[in-house]
Amino acid sequence: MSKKGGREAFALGALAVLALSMPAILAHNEYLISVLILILLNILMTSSLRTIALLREISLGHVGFGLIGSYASALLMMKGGFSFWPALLTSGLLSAAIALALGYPFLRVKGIYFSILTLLTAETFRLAAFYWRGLTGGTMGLVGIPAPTPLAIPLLGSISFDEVGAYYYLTLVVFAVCMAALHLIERSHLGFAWRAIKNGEELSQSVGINVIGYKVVNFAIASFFAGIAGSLFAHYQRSLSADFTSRFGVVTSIYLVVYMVVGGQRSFLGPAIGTLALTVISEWARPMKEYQPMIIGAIAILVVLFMPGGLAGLSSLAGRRVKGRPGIGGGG
Amino acid sequence: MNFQVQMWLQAVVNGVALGWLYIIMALGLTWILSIMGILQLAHGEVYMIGAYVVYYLCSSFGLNIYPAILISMVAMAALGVLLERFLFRARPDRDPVLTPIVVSTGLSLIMTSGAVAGFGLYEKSLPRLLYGSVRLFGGAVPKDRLLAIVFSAAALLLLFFFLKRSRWGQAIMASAQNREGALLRGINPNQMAMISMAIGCALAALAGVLAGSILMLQPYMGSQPMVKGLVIIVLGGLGSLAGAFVGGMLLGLIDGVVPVIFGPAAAAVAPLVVVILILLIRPTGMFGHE
Repeated sequence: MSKKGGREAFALGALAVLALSMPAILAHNEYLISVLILILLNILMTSSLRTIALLREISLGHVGFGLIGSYASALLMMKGGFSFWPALLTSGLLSAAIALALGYPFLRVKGIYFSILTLLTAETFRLAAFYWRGLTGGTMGLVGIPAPTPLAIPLLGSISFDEVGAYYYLTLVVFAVCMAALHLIERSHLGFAWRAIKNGEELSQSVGINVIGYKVVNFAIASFFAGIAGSLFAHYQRSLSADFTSRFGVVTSIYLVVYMVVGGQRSFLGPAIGTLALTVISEWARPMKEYQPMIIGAIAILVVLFMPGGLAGLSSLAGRRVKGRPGIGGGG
Repeated sequence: MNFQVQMWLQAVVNGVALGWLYIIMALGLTWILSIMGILQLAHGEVYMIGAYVVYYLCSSFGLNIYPAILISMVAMAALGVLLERFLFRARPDRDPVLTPIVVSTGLSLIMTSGAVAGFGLYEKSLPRLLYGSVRLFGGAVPKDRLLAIVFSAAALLLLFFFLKRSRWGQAIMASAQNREGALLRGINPNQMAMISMAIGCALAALAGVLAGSILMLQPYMGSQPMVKGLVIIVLGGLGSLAGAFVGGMLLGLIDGVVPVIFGPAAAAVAPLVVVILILLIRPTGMFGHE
């Protein structure tokens, strides 16, 4: 334990130092830092998507709860007179509350139905935001979203989050807290109950696990983090649109699932690896414009057909081959 | 007064025509889902490609639209066979739910971006099926919408008789109801999967053409009807023809009539509300069973 724990702590420390020095490494290039912010937000989305996947359920509408967080946070600051931090927390809680309400009818049906229902929900949220002119600006979009309230630190003055560098650090802090929370939740009794449900729903029920209750809580927790990511997105972007081609379209949810599976949804870091790898690839493929989605799609198909553990499964696969055991099993 | 009648009639006819398109989409999806157990998220893209095939057959080769529709349906059926054989066939080392979802989303990204690259983002339009309109209850109804309804109804009837009367249809039904049982009776599930994929893709092509002749063609045209098709499956119950019919009509009428009365925001939210209400009462859908 101590040896492994030590190694993990070292790796975590190295990652933290790397993340903190990233703006300097990228020579404070505003475009690259904004890509980095989006990567962090997408990792938060895919990691919380993985929380649902712990139940062996695939949400195809995770971005819908991001949308709730985005609009809630923006409107709370613009019209509700909230300051940034309460707005952030409230938007996460609102996403969770909506997921809690929808969870009961959605999670009573299983498997593919759940995926379809989440897809429908996200599209409904998007269309509602698109047409609800009075609240969300409708087809014109919501503009003039304020940056987070400047943070006043005694003796040092105050930090304004107007520019992208400072916003990166704010995102990084919230991101780190959320990832730690997700990790802890997975190791708590909640996580064990979810795994039990995944492995055998009826058996879990028979030993007194409230299956539907745990599932709904899972959905709400995942949606909470999607809402937080959405709120951070809103104050970073400073304007929102619910157009078909915006971030809130079906395509984003699809990309999130692809990121998660390419990274490998079985390990905690898998979604992060997949998001990072595919974002780097699609930034690299940016000059190819319309062929960009094609490359991502091809990678997704190849990975899922030939590398069932995803990118994160590569290391364990290599380890097993070395030890002379036969290849991958069907487990999961 | 006459204007009111005209508006209502238009809304209802549009709703019914849309409903039939959704039904055709849902039929393909529901058969693929109940026989192969997979969510084919690229179904909307098959619909889109099917419509473009007809567009190019008509505009580049000067073909009449009716034979072009037939060719497109056959071509998409062949595409479906290839997809089943090389991408969707179940293998023991693959996750039965997740793998097809990711494969079909990857496929949908590839097909959409291929369409953007190959066909361009400009909207294209197909030749109309028929010109002119019929007078009905004191209002005018465009003939092409009526014909789209007739085509879809004919496709549904054909499918119904194929499933109920032919040996192949019976085998498909058996495979959908009980995979192992059908296997014991000597029915090859892979063959059934291939047939249902071919039928599903041909139906998607038909829906795409009918939609393309009423609306417009563009590379993203498939996602909306696919979402509708999926919703119909949840509403009507998996693998149920009657469920697909009732669910499709319901959604079509919601899309046709609700925006006229309550505005587009209400029309956007209405399907979700209906689905939640039905799931609360009957978790397996209106016509579904365990």
